[in-house]
Amino acid sequence: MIGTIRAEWRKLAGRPANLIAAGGVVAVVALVYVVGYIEYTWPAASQAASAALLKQGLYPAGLIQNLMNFVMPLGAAIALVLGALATGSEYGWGTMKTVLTLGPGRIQTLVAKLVAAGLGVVVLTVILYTSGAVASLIVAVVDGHAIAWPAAIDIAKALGATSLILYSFGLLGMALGFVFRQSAAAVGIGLVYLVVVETILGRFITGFHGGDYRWIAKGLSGANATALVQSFGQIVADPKAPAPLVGAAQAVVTLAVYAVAFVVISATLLRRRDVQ
Amino acid sequence: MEELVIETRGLTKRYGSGVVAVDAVDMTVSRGEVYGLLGPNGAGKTTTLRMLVGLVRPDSGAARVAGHEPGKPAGLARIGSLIEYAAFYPYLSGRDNLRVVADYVRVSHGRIEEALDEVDLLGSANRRFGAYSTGMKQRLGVAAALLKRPELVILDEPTNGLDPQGMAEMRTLIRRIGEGGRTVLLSSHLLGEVEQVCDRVGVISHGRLVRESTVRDLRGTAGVLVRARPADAARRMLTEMFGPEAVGQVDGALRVSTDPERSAELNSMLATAGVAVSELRPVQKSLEEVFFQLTGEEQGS
Repeated sequence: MIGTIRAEWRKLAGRPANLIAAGGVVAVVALVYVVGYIEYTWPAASQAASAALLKQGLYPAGLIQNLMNFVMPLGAAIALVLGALATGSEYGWGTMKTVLTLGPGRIQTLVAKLVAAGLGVVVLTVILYTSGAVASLIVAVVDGHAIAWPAAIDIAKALGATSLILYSFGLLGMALGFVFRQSAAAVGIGLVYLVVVETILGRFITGFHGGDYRWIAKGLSGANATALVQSFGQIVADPKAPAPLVGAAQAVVTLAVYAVAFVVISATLLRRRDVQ
Repeated sequence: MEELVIETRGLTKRYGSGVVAVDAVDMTVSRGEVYGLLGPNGAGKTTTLRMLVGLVRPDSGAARVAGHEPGKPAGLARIGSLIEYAAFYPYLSGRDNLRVVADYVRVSHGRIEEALDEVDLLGSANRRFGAYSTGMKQRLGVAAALLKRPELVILDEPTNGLDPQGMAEMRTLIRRIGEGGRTVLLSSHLLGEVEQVCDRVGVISHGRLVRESTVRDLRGTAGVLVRARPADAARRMLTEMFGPEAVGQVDGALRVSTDPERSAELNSMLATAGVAVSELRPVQKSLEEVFFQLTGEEQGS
């Protein structure tokens, strides 16, 4: 099993798309901090008050709230795409055939893929928070602002929530890769689902008929991921912002159920279908 | 008693549209032999091999491969295979791809250099797989198949897409793989290839295994080719001597199924009867003739 996991990790770690995604995360975080710093340091006169408040998010104390905005939907979309590529490409390149004739059983191969993907999510999460921490530290030093980090328990919760959200959407991508047995359709359908069903339809259902059908939206993975992100609070509270649909605990459970469902779908398809 | 490394009984695979890709195939491959599965494109060779390594499940029938049901990890641990074409990760080098394979099959990475050397790829092992030529890709596929030192090697059309030089190199490689008691199952639509490297052949047509025997048996008994004038007199004489079923027409000459040792006797008898012999030589049916005879009969049935 260890060898199979090592093989899966070797494939993930060497893949340009994953390396580009990791570099992209660092670049986006750097851009957010640079643009934010410029915008909030030299604001228009009419926005000076709100800019001063928003700038607090760029300091180490606001690290979690600032980075959580990155996780949903952008982080989820990246995880979905990488998940779809991880399994869909195996069919496109014909390597699924190679792997399944090497010896490890189909389920063992899937478990190794899940473990490697989980490790990848942890690495991506650590890169996100490390690059955010470095950027916030630089901003604080440049501004001569006091350096105060969030409590360790809050950082641990944020790392856990981020990993859960990224992993559940990564697993959705992997399941779509198994369904379509190619990466292009898996990525396309996955992103359409994330944008159309989760975002547009979710909002429509939430507000439709005076909110009578909110219970449907409460079951969507995107709504639960958003609620989990919102549970960490905002730098500046927006009174017009919609309240989270569900509490953090329910969001965690729902996302975990989705993750298990995606694994079951993947296992069923991989185990039962012929590989051409 | 010969030990069978592959044994199938009534192996059948149908596809959704009702097409029978493999129809009740009974096939046996003994330990240590190089077995050729011969058939035209679309005959069912690849589907048969896919079933033997567990990629495709049969609709009916059964198989034992390397002592196990197809696709079982214990069996696959003893099989090295290259099915249809070599498929690896294009962004990894040849060497890194073999590292991935070595991790899957739990083989020391030290073995990778040996395997690369066996297929003459050491010099280009650090190049990306995506930049390899077709021949190099196929050789890397063979290296991956050999990495775990399997007792059974299954190669599906390994010379597909190769230039003549690459084909010759691959045949040499296959012969080398078959040395030392290793069992090789080779599928091909190239008769010459099978004839050159295989001990035994199974001919598959329209999903059915129409004949299974040694290459020597398949080619049948030797014969004698006779070109003589007048042809009618020659045919009449030869038919009287050997019977009508033993005399056939080949390219304007007569082919007589008899021991070539009797050529001198035959020449003497024809000359005595006033038949002028312009050509008299021993012949054997080519595998190609046998193949088309077998598949033609099958198509006509």
